[in-house]
Amino acid sequence: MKKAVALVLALILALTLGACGRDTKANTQSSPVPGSSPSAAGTDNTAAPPAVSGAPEYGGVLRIVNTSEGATPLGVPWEVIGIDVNLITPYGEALLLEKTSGEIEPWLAADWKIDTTNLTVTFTLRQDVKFTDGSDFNADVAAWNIQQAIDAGIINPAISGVSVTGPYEIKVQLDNWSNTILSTFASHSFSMISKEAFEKNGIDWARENPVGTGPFKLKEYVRGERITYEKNENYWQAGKPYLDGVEYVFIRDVMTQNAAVQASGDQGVDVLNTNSAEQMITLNSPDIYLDKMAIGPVSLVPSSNNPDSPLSKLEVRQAISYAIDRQSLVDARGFGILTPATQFIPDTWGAHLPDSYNLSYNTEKAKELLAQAGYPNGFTTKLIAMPGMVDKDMVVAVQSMLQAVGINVELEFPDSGGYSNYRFNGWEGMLVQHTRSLPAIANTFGLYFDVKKDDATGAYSYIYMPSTWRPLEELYNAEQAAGQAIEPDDKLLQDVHKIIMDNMICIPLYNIYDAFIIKNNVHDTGFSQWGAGTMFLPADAWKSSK
Amino acid sequence: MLTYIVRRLIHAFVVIVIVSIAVFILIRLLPGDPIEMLISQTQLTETTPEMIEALRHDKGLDRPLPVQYADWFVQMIRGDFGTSIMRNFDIGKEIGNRVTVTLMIGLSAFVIGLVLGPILGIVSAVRRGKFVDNLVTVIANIGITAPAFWVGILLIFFFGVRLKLLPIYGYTLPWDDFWMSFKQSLMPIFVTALGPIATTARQTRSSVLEVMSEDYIRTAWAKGLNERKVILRHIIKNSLLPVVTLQGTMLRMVVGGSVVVETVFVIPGMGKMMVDAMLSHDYPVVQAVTVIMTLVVVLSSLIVDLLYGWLDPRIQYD
Amino acid sequence: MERLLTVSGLTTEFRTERGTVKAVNDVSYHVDEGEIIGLVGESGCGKSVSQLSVMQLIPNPPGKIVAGSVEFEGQDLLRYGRESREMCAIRGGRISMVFQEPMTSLNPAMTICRQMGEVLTEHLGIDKAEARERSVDMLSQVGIPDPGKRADDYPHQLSGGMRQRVMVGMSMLCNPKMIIADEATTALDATIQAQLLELMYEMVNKYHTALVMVTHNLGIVARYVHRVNVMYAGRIIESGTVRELWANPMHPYTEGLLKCVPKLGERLVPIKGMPPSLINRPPTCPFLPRCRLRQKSCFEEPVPELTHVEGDHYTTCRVRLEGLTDD
Repeated sequence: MKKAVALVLALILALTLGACGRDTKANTQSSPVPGSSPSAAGTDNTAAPPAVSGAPEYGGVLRIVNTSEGATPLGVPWEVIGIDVNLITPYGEALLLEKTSGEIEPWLAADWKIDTTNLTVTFTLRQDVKFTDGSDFNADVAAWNIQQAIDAGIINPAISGVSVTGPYEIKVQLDNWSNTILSTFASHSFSMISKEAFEKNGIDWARENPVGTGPFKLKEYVRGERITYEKNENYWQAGKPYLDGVEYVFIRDVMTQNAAVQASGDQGVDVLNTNSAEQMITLNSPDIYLDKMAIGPVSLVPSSNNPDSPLSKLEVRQAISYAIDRQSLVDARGFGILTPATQFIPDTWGAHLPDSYNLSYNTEKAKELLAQAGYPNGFTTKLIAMPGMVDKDMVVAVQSMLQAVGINVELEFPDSGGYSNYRFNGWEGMLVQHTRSLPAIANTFGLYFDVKKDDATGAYSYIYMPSTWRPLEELYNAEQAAGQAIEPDDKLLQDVHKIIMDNMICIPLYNIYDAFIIKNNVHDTGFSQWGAGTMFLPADAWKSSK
Repeated sequence: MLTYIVRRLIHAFVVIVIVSIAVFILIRLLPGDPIEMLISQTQLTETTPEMIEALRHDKGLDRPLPVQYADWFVQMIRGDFGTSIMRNFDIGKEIGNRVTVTLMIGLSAFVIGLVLGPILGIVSAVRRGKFVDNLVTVIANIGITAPAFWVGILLIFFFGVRLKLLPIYGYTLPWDDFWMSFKQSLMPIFVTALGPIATTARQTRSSVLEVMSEDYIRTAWAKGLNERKVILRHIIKNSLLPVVTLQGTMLRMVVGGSVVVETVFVIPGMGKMMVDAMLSHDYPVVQAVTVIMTLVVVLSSLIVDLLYGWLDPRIQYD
Repeated sequence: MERLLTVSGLTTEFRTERGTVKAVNDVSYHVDEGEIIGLVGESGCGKSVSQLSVMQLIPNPPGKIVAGSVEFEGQDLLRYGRESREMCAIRGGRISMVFQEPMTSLNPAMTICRQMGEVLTEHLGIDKAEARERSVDMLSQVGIPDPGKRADDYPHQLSGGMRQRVMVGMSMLCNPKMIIADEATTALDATIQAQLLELMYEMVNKYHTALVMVTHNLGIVARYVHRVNVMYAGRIIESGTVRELWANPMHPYTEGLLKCVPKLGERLVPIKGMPPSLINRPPTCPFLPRCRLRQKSCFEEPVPELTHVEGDHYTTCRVRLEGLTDD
């Protein structure tokens, strides 16, 4: 009996040690088992791969991890939502490109003109582009694509119509102008597909058979496993693409992702997108470079719909902010990557405010403010954590920090259905969620701080605040001004930001980073240069032989 | 006998209807509206209630519940399982693909469990108290308690990353590329089969021990049969009854797949689809999958019951 | 008559939590060809275990035959391993056994014909068709009506009495030299019991087979058995022909047993007390606590071996042996 037990135990031990052994080679830190927190000294790999001399090489397949289930048909872009939209990138191209800074660049549309008086945007299209079925890309096709998106109801509702004004010119009609409209046209949800193929074969065929203008075309789509694209020999940019193919693999399990990044050859993946600081540290090795950027904080979002609730008082919200020791949060669970969020918009964006606006940690001030507000003994409230994006341990830490100043907090961790319910239908207490800064910062405000004005009654309403709250009108006006400028204006955006900070509409905690972990022999993908709509330029990417 | 089967099939139909109604109602009671979740995944920065209602109407979710159910049921009878709300795929076709994959892995694991489990159990019972028995018992306990994902990850890192012997993830159907399919299947099948082998071995062992102490086994010995003949002719058939019951419940796994194994090894099976649909409140997918699973469960219980009759002639059907 | 079986000093022990149980303690007896002998005693006296030891059907663990020899047809069976080819050939072929529980002694999932045929194919190597023929023939010999059809039935379709007939028939199929009937009729009701006993008597006489009848029913012994061994606490305490024992019981236990047989008009006189524990038995007489004849020497000396009295009559009672007085 003892012999048997010993034998088996020894086998298990051997396997475990073998599996963990790879870490000691790969890590610059001393983390022995994936999943444990290493010491705080962060390793920051360069944001660009080692310099390579010479022209791009041809050949190779780029393998990217995508965490969707991979079941959606991709041939009809305006039906595709969520992470699946990324999968369109190799075959589908949109009218514009968007950089992470928010700048717009031409793509299938060579030029555009904005008319704010008549509320139109006129696009001049490229003339040398063909679809993979040989049909021409022209104004007729482009207008048809946009109209389909409008009819599907998933495009910005401000876009009300489109018309053909020339063989390569279209005019889009708007209900109102906002400087987020152009970024809509950079999204792959509105990629151009062949009208001819669609009308000839019907929507069911089109769903399974994408016909786009992009550098690759669909080779094989194995639902739930991977999608493989192969080179489009007749791509409109001569000499490109360099790669033979692009493949997305649907790996949802973190451990398997790690194994895939560490593998090479046919099983190895070249690109992994993650915002888990833990994963970034685990995979850090000489074989990869880490391309990361701050994408906005995880914040506490209080609901003050109830005017009797303590959260409706500004001093209380300020007190909560003073009670949080942001630095120790990132020291404990930041893995050397995360940073404290002392303002809502991180300093990567132009809407960041001067240091005087920075939030700080001061428990005495917190208690003082609470007493001032009429809660010398604190009060009870609830924290509702967003599933998937928020680290549970952080939430528990916040709970104990608030406890220290007398605020009793109940924690709730609902599933995505329950959470969505809270967001759409209101909640008591505070949400803990990621408040993502999008490239066009006004989009951010629109998503989280959208104040609506009822034109008939002149009343302002906002899902997070009661309508009796004074600064609503101020916020509305500032948002309108920022949104309606022809181009994003940092000064105007700062105005909005100021209102949010002054009124502590949300309480930022720590900044999350979005990182692309890329193998060293992959070049010119541009993952962190392009915004979420554009993602990357598959035509420019290439792999050096290694 | 025939009337018995027909009766059972009618029961099966009734059970499926009842279960489908229950699931239909239950999933709509869960907090979280799929339309709201759908909208929140688009890149829209502004959502109006009108947009939400328009989308709801588009997907047919604003009709009265009985109408929705009746419509779905009639279509299902005709073989049309509808389209996914969240992801727009044809449910029937997708289930077809996924079931095939799950069957390949699940069936292999099931057969291995069916064969290996009883063998280990019999050996262990017949050599009770000896080294073999202890070894099998220890392995069985590990097989039952070790979580599938832990074993899976260990294997991936050891055989995939370290030794580079087996592929880390993915799945190919055997008729597309037999060798690749074989290599990719080894680890997932092993992980899936571990639990069933272990439970079957333990169940068989205790069942065999029980049978071994029966009087008719003593008679068999007294007739001068040697150990091999006593086991093969007298012990096995009589110990199989509880084992068959157990295997019957595992039949479900063959079609349902294991979401853990599928997630870790990136296998496009039924398990992932089910869980994904449930988390995103994709009503028609959840309903379709539940119907399929119910069908499998009632059919496998019918098969088990019929097997009983063959194993134990004392059982009558009326 | 030729000597068939000689058991000498057979001792079988069982290891239990509370100690080692000597279920069979230095047992010796013999069986001649064609003889019917009886083995009587109360429950737990070791009669079944002694026979199972002869057949080497004792479950091991926890039981073990620790001493003695079993001479059968010139060989000591105990030299052969439990599962050896030799023992397997003996069991069912040369020595058969019929057990007590007809309801559970047959495999419920196998037809009668198959179970019977198994013995034939195992020992005589004949084919299935022939085996079936012989089985059906035997079924009719044991008095089963419509044997051709019954052969294809399953045990649960037969009554207890019929099943026991099948067991008897099965035991005779290979024409063994000896049959051990271990309380074969105890579980049956009186009329069926009588039928079965008559059947067995008839069969063993017809085929000149020796029969060892293990029973606690002295009535059966009186009617069918030639010589009888009386067992108590794992030992044979007296043996002899029925006539000898009935006329002149030489052991207080045997006396007591005879007084327990119900007779019309007479009162039953029970033996006071309980049989002793079989763990760590002292060498003195096991009947001591309940014996009305006990003397001082019985407490001090070990119990005597089976000692000849006269004819086939042997006993182990010191008092009766020494005194040879009546009581």
